[in-house]
Amino acid sequence: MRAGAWAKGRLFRRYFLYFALLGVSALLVSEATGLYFANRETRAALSTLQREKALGAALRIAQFAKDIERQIGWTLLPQAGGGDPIDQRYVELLKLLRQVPAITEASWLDASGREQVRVSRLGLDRIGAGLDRSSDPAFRGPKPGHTWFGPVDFLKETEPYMAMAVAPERRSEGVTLAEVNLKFVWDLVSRIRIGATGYAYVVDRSGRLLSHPDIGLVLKKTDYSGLPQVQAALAGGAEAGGPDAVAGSPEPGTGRDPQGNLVLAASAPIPELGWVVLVEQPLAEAYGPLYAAIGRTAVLAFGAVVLAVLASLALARHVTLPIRALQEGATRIGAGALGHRLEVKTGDELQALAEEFNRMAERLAESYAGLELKVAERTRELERANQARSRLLRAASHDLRQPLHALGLFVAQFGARSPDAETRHIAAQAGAAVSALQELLDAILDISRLDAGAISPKVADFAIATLLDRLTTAFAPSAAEKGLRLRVVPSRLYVRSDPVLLERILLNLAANALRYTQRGGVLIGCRRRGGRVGIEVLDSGIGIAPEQQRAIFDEFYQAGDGQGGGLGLGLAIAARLAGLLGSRIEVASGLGMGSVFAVEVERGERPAAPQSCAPAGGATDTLLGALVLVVDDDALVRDAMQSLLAQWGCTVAAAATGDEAVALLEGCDRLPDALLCDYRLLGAETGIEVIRRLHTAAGTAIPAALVSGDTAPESLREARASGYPLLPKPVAPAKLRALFEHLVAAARVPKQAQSP
Amino acid sequence: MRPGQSAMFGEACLAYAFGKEDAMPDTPLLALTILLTGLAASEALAQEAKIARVGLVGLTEGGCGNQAFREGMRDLGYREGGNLVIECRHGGGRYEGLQRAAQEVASAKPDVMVALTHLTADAAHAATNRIPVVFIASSDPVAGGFAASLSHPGGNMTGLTYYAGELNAKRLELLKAVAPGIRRVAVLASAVMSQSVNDVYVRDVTAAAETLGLEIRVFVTREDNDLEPTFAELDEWKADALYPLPTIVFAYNAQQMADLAKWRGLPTVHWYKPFATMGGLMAYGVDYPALQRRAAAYVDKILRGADPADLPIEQPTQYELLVNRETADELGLAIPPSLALRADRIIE
Repeated sequence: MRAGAWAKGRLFRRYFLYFALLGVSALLVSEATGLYFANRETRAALSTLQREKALGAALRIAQFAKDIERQIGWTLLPQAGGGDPIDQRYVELLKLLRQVPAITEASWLDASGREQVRVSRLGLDRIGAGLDRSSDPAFRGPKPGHTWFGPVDFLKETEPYMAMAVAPERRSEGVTLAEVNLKFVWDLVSRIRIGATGYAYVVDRSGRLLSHPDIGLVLKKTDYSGLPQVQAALAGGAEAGGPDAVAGSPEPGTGRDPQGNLVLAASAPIPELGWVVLVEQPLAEAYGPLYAAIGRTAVLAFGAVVLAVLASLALARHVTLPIRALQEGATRIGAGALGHRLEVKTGDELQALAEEFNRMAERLAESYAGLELKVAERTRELERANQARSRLLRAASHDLRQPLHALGLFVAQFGARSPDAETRHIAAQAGAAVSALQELLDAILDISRLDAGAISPKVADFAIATLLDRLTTAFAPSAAEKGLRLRVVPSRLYVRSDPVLLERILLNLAANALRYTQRGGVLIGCRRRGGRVGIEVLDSGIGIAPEQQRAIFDEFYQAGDGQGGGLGLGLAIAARLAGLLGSRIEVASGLGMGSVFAVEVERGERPAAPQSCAPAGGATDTLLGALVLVVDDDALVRDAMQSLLAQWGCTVAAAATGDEAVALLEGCDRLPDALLCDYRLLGAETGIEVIRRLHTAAGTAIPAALVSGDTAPESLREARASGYPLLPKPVAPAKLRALFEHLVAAARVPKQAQSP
Repeated sequence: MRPGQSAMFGEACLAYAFGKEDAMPDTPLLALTILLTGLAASEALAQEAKIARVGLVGLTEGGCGNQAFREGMRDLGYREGGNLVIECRHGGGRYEGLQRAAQEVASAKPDVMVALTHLTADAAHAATNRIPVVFIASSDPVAGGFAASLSHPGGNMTGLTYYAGELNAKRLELLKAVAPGIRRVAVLASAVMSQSVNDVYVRDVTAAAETLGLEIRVFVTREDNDLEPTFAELDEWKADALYPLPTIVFAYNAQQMADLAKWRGLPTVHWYKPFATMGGLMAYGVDYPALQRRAAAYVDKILRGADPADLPIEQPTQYELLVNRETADELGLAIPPSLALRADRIIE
């Protein structure tokens, strides 16, 4: 699950965001546009309505004036019949008063402008007074056949009056004048309603209020010319001019009422009178439904947004869950859980994909199973083959070694017995050849075993000093012989490794170092490398060119021109052994600059029990007169051993089997000083058992050693575990001798120490 | 949603999204519901009904029972017993009583005082100069001290007035039109009227009479409104016609006046329109109920917070002439055509 952890949730988040954004933006956009258009339409509708009302009001007021106009006009109709014309006019005017309640006073001026009749509701009537009113604007104002509308006056401070004068077509008929109380217009205006708080009012040319639902404002002679909508209305009317009320009414707009509140205002002029009707509605009320709609929309939109978000969540989840199931399942199957099956039931391609995954997992499982079977089979075959090869190897090594071992012994004997130097020399050469053969055989068998994996390291903690000592012992002579300096740096370090294998590696490395060094010397030392130990072999030899530093580990490769001797297998074996130990051979070198070979091992701990020291080599004559009991099932070997040991001054008793050996021991008049047993004896007996039996028979632990041609790791282990020194066949006589000397010397010391 | 709730919600969403089936709790839905209802819930707080208190001053009990004013208040949305309380005190027809009544009403500290006649307005004016007063004045309110000017009263009193100085002349003119032969006109005043009001009337009538060439004398009726003694005085002076001054008192004894005038053969022009229907010869006046209804509009404005000082005083627009032909016949008078044309109603 690690690999996918970083991506966890991203798909869900992405889908959720996409869906949510899409849904929300779609919602908001649609709501916003809907709102915008609804807003515009509503406003337009409101404006239109208001305009209509204004126009209607203007029309009605104009009608009112026209009506009065008409009535006044009738008073100017030619009088019929005889009688005093003034009287007739008087009657006409009385009729006028009766018919038009709005007229408070009416006068008739004759053609020359003298007032001949005046009737009034409040004041006294005047008849025939003859007042000269020819300079009155009311007289001069009206053109023939037209009406003159005077300015609005406030009589007695609070009564709005307007004078109207009508002149007939025929000037001789005079002019009728009327004072019209405009409070009658108030009635009209106050009935105009827009919504709950909308109203209409009338202003004159200069913006003075003429009529208003609140009559008090009129009576106060309020001036509305400061209001923006009034100014606009007056300007508009003035621009358009003419009698066309519709053309003169500008587009409704926003204005302010005297209290400063915003209002929606429409206006229409009354061109005949020079007045303007304004229809206003407080903006709050006018746009109230609009705001309510916006509020509603906002709430609904919010609710819808929330729903959209929730739906997006659900949708994203619906989409991503199967995908995640697929992802997790794939990861599991990929990690090896081939039994895992995906559960995706979405009824679509994802389910099909899941099913394919499952099928794939099944097939994988099957093929794995099949493979495993095959692998198991092959492994078994291999094992069998390996075992066969091991057996062959073991057999071969055993069979090959025995004659070779014997040959070595015989040649040594031969060399010892040769009468002259020349023969000795030949014998020596033969011996060298035998040694070489033995070495080669060993090496080849080693490599085969290594390749067959027949060797497994037995790791133990041991002191590196042991190994270093053995190295010194092994190579000091050859180094001295070659005139080289061998220096082994002592170390108290403990390492954890296989001592046998490690020794082999170091032996090979050291041998190589010596072989390829002509001058100078070889240095072997240990170096701490953190928690590990590097064992280095340095030489001042010919060095290895960088391009050959890999090839040197190949089989049968010899650097230089092959003059150094050796078989070219040393490094090959060493490298394989190092690999077994979980390490490798490191090389640092340059032509003519010497080389450093190193192998790295783990540090170990000092084991509780001290190891036995390797016996120091040294040529002493302690063997003289020692009795050695040799047990070996091979007659040749027995012969060879006998000769060799006798040469050294030992007395040799040889037995083929354990029984024989015991019999010999009991038959002997003295106990042997040392025992030498072959590890592999006829039957199931091992040398170890024989040695034990002999010890039992002798009643004392006679120093014993094992010789073994068996290189099987188990045998070697057992042999080592027995505690008795083990010499592998073919045995080098020098080693044998050293061992015997050691054994005999050891036998003598404890004897002395143990003597009561 | 509070932050905590929204975090919870967010968690729930994530849990839900990542497949834990039970992780979608009711909390988000609940929160939604609350939110929506909270937003959609109206915030209208019912305005506590404010009860308007109107103090009415009447000359007599009848004045307290005035219906036209109440009608006007009803039309404007006030309900007696609901959002309107009208407390009325009357003077029992007497001057002192009226003053006392006005004081009582004023001391109850109503929102507005209403005085539907000049007399009561006078009393109210004396009783308070703080409490807004809506009046109907038959005389000149400016001269009466109620207001500084008609367009801007400037004090605590406003209302309507139907006084027109020239009306006196008009009425006398009408009287003369129907009875051309009259020379001496008896002008009736009431003891209940205040002197200042009286003076104004007398001044105007005197001027009018001069214009028309008539002789006048003022006769003050008694406080008990009995006209008999006054008529006796009239007889002595040999009055030709009768002209009652526009005071509410003469509305109360209009019937008696009509009868007495007819019996004594005195052409009379009254300001109170029902006078003509009661048998009086003529009446030329305004629609008083309309004025009383209009007073309600003033009360409404003041209750809504208007300052009486800024409310201009209105004047009536319509005057009606009623002529009683029967009475004219009985008095031996002929109705000239001009008068007939003028008359809005001729009562047969």
